[in-house]
Amino acid sequence: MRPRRWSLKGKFAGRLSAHRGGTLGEVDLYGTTRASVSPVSMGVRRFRGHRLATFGVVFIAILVMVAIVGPLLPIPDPNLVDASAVRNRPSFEHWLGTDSVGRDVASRLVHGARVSLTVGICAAISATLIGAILGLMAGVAGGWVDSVIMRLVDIVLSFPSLVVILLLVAILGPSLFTIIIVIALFEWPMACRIVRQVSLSVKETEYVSISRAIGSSDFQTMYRHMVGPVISPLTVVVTLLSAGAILLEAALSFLGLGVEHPQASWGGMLQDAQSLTILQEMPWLWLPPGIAIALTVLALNFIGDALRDAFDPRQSP
Amino acid sequence: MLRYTTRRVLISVPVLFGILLLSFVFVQMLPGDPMRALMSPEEAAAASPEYLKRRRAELGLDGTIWAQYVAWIREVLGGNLGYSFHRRDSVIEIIGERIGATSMLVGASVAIALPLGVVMGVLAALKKNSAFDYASAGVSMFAISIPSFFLGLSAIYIFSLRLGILPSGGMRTFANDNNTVVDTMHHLLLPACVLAAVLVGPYVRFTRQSMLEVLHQDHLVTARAKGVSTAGTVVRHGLRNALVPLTTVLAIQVPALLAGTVVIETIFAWPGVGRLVLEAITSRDYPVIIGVVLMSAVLVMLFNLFADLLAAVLDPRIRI
Repeated sequence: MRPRRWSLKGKFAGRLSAHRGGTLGEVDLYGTTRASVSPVSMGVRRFRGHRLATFGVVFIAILVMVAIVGPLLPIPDPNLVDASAVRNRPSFEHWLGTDSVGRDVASRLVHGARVSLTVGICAAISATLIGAILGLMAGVAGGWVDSVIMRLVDIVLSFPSLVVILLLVAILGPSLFTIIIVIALFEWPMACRIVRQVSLSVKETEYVSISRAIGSSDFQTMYRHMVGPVISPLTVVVTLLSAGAILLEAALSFLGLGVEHPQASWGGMLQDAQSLTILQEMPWLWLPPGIAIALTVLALNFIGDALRDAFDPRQSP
Repeated sequence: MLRYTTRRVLISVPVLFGILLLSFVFVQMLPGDPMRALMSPEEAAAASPEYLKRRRAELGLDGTIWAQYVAWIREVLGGNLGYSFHRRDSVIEIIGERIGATSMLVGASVAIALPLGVVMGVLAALKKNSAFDYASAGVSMFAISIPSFFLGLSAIYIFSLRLGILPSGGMRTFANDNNTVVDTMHHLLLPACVLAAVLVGPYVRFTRQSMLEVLHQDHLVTARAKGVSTAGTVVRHGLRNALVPLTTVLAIQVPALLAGTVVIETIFAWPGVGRLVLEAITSRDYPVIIGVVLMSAVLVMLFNLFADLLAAVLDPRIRI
């Protein structure tokens, strides 16, 4: 939920709040009007006002811990095939039952978290790095460099990324590394556009003009003045991109082109559910991984939205 | 307008060639002889080594990589997207067989998602920070976050397996020959709704956002002050302006739409292009996949061009 807003009820409310300074929109109880609060702590307050984002942070933190300590937990081997316990219902021995070759669903779920998080984080960070570097170059250098990079963005955005990623993974062979690289290569434009936008607006500021006037080069301008302002929007981008990358990896594994067998992955665990018998009679096989993907992506999206709100209240709803 | 149009069209030319270049890179990455993919199987089977050599020269495959790129572009622009490795048909024919089913699915889901998204977005913007606003934000957030295959499987589980009111897959029932239109509609409903759920989130968000921006503008306030009803101002002055950015969103969504069809057509056994992609991936029929990739990239580019031009017609400020 959002922080309570101070507003007049009724039809004049909108008009009145529009009068109160364009950028703030409304005056809230959390200190936006108090001059003594620093931008960072204002951001932190606004972030904490989103309770769903707080849930998201807690959920992702727990998930990361589970993924890290997963192999140390006293759970069955996720790849242990047990022909005597095929498609068992959830029981005390197997909390979430067993799959079609008798592997423990709960421990595959725990190990699947490692794959999803690795792909999500690594692909998002690589994509953001590619995008940030190209975006900075486009914004600072301008001219033909800018045009070339922006056309590159248009080109990459024209391709349906899932289909291209399917094609490349099929040609190069599925592995965690391939998936991460291919996702990064086709998901960087969002970071690029945002970084370019920010650096264009920073370029217009007086301190940049002055630093250019005393002779700093393109690279110095980039390094000294652009990296800082770009960081906060980039945290939003990384969060949202990792949500997207987790969804892509899940779809790839679901379609049978994800990580190699027998490595557990959430999307791959749902593959069996394409058979109607399993879908109807063994919900323990497909409900838990599906819910796990949905919750993880939801948590990341909540965090991303709250971060955007915290850093730039004008942009968010 | 003419200047804007010319500039916008000129911008898409390098994009088109970039798309072709990237697709050519994919062709080069393929294992095996690229000529196999460009010749029909009959031609290849009947060919003598001399003929193959001459044909290779004709297709430009014996030159440098740039000469090959130019030759390949000439083939593609002439309508030869190559031949399937497994079937004795050209890629164009194979895609042609499937495009109808996909257009039907995509059309139906946009027809469901667009009005729903616009209405929800407008209402959410009008009643900002109300329970409805939060509810619609929550719904669109869920719709964005739930993987489409999980949503599809859950929909089959609920509506086909538990309630038994909708078929779980396919395009028509084999047993009944009459009533095919109604029957197809019946089969279309579930996949179209699932695909619509994938699309509706962004529609709601963008409509709400641009509606909020428009609502406080002076001309709306003036209209209200002069006594135009709330509904009148919202529809005539608000919605008309708020919908301009939505044309761009529609175009941006096309790649997501295609990705959605791959997953949803697979789950629902819908015989369209998306399912074709997966079949081609499993049988390693690369020319078909590259054909689909190339065609959809060009399509997306055209959609973007069209959306930008349409937006410029609707909103003269864009023409600068």
